[in-house]
Amino acid sequence: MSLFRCEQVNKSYQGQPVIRDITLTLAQGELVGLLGASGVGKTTLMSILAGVDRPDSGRVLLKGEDITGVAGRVGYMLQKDLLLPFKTTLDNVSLPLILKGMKKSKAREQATELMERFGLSGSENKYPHQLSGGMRQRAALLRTHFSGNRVILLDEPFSALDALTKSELHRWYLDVSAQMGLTTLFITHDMDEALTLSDRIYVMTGIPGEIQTQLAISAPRPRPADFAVSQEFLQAKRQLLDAIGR
Amino acid sequence: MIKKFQNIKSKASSLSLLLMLLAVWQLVCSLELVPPFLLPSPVSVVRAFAADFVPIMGHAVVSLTEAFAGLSLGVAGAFMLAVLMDRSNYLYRALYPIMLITQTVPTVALAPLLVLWMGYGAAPKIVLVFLVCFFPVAVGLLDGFREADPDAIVLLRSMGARESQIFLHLKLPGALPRLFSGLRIAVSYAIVGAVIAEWLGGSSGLGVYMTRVRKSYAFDKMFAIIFFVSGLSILLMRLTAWLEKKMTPWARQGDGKES
Repeated sequence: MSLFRCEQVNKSYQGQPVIRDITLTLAQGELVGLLGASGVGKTTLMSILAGVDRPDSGRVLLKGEDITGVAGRVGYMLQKDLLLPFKTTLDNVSLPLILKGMKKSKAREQATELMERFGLSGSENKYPHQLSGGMRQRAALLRTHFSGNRVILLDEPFSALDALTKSELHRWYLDVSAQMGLTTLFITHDMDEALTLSDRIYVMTGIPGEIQTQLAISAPRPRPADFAVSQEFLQAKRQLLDAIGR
Repeated sequence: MIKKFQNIKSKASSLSLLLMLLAVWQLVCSLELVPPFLLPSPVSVVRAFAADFVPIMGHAVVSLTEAFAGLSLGVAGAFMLAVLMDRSNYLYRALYPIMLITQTVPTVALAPLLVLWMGYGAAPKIVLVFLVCFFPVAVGLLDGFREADPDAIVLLRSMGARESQIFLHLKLPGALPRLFSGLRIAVSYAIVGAVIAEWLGGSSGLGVYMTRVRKSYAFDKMFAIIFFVSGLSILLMRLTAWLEKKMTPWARQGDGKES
């Protein structure tokens, strides 16, 4: 059974359809990429999945429960890290717990426990502007983790990072998500990133955006260093190129 | 480190310039280039201040009380209005232009009217201070609330935050620097506002003292009180700056890099 899914989701803005009949499914522990050019409505879809926006029709299900338009059930990370500049790292990270009504001391305690695994120990009392780009991203990811039931939606989480930090964070995220049993849907416009990280890739195209095709990558994660030159990688990339170009 | 050093250096140079001006002033008076009843020497100003120290302090307490009362009411009122205007787009669109227009009214010119309406007690003084403090604080807060990143609001919503939580965790702390820049202006207006209202009538207060010494042509006392009032304003602005530092710790930590 699927852990998280959306069915037949449609959304228009000012009479213009933005996304049409989107159905997608995430199984427990899966890492799924959502690939598409700018303007196909990926971010609109994400905000519907996160419950911040309501679809015109269709529904969103978490463990079989209808959570359409209900926020706070899955973790959602926007394109920017959006760490609040006036809160320390620890307070930023524990914010979702506090918003859910947890006591500040208990929320901090829970957050502190995970700071090390997220490579953030020692920066608890620093402010966001004192952190490196990679650390900010990890802090935002930890905060996202606290806001969801191990279901995490990421909108281009790694796009603003330099190449080295990016591949380092890729490896780290695969590791953490396996350890913690996270289920992730992430938006990307970078095919190589999608192929490196994903168990499956949905390709979204057109205006209004539709799921054009989906593609499973069978190589086990984390993928070997030479995966990017392997036969499977190149074949999959060709399929993606075909799907997007169509 | 370097910045701190430069700070000290710039403070030292303005201090030495000030001392030089004082020395020139004293020299002009000692040589009697200007008749002493028109321009009292710095030394006689200090003497006049010392001689009247006790009554001046008594008047200062009255003026400061009026200033604080007006300032607190102004800040509280500004806060409430800013919150309402932030919650309601209709109120914002309706009131913001009016608020800007009211700033063309010279508030100080309202003082005689206030005295006529409310008499010689503390009321017209407090109302005038309220009026001069209200606007900079309300606009500062409102701009601060409005500056909250819409994406951050979406993020907090996605975490299931209620409107009140978005206000408390995002808008309010984000608006603090703006609030304090408004407050710095407001505190300096507060003292001056109280003093000006006192000019027009009353039985005590620094403004009343000023009118009395003016009427008796006691120039040394007039200078003393002018310096004292500006000293009070500086003190209050310093206090506000200190409070700002305490309440916005994120602004001073780290390498000063903006992000």
